[in-house]
Amino acid sequence: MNPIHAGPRLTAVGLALSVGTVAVLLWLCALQFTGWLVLGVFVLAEVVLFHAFTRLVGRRRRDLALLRCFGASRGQVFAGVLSEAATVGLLGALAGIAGGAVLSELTGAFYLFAVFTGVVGAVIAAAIPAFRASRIPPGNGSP
Amino acid sequence: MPVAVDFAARVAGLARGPLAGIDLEVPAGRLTAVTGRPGAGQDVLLSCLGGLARPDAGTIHIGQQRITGMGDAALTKVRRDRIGYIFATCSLLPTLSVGQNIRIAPELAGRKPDQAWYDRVTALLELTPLLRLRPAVLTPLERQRVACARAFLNRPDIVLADEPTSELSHSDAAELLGFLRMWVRKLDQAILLATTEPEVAVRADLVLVLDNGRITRSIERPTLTAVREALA
Repeated sequence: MNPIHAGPRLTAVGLALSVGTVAVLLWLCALQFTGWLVLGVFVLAEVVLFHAFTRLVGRRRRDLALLRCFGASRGQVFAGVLSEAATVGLLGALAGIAGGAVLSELTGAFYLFAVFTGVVGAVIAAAIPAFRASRIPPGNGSP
Repeated sequence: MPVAVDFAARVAGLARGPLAGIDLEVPAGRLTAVTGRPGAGQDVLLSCLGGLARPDAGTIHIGQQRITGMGDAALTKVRRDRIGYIFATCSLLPTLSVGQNIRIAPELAGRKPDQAWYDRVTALLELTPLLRLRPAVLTPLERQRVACARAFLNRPDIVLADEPTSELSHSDAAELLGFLRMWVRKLDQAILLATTEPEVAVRADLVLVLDNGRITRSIERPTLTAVREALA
């Protein structure tokens, strides 16, 4: 594991909610739902992911300040948080595909759509927390 | 002809907080202590030298490189490759193993540390059996030895040790200072140590006394009496 990911992980609740809302969004898509309901769940998923990563970055302030002190660049911190978001989005996509396969017949295009929506959606939601993380000044880890 | 002197770091006219225009040269291959009463600004000096705080005025060179005026990206590389840090309290990342903490700078740079040198550093600091453990299970002295290994691994131009013994017992502090001195003697590592304790400062080759925002005295081959007097 790259040291850029050092520090506390997402809480179990934060992870479950993040993966869960992405999965529900994809189940609705698999069932051919369209319109406001899908859009509403999409916005909900973005809000849940945004909050989860905002809290994660908050709990990692000390670790991130130390990483910056020992030579992590702002770009590395930014990309580090985004790559974790992408992983969570991918987990959501896999849960969405697994559930979607039970609910309906899935096409190849749906797999692509699911992975794209999960990963890109999560990265967009985490962009602001990741940017804030990259602005944490380097420090000696004292509060 | 004057003898060419190597400097690990040079500071000219540095002002910030309590510091009012400091000039100083940290010699290469020696243990230098900067001391003063609490609040005299040793910590500010080390933060500026370490690229963690920007001075209001003055210039700082680490090795041959001037770091004042550098952008964040360039300064980050200097912190990663040219400077080692040992702080007062445990500055280890709790979720990484001891070994990962030691290798943090090269790993952030995407390099694998030279294995023979890594093995030597960890062996000299008696850390070989601890490499897979988490920092939380170590004693305070062991944790500071890990911080030393991390600081020394890159063979930096300078190691900045900010009150490295302040959280240690008397005997542990003496042992840690022994490790720092060994590194200076055996491996020519330049170390700048900030401390308010004369008993710690006296273990250095050169003691600089900070008072009223300036270096007021420079004591070669210090004795405890001389350092105590300077701080009185």
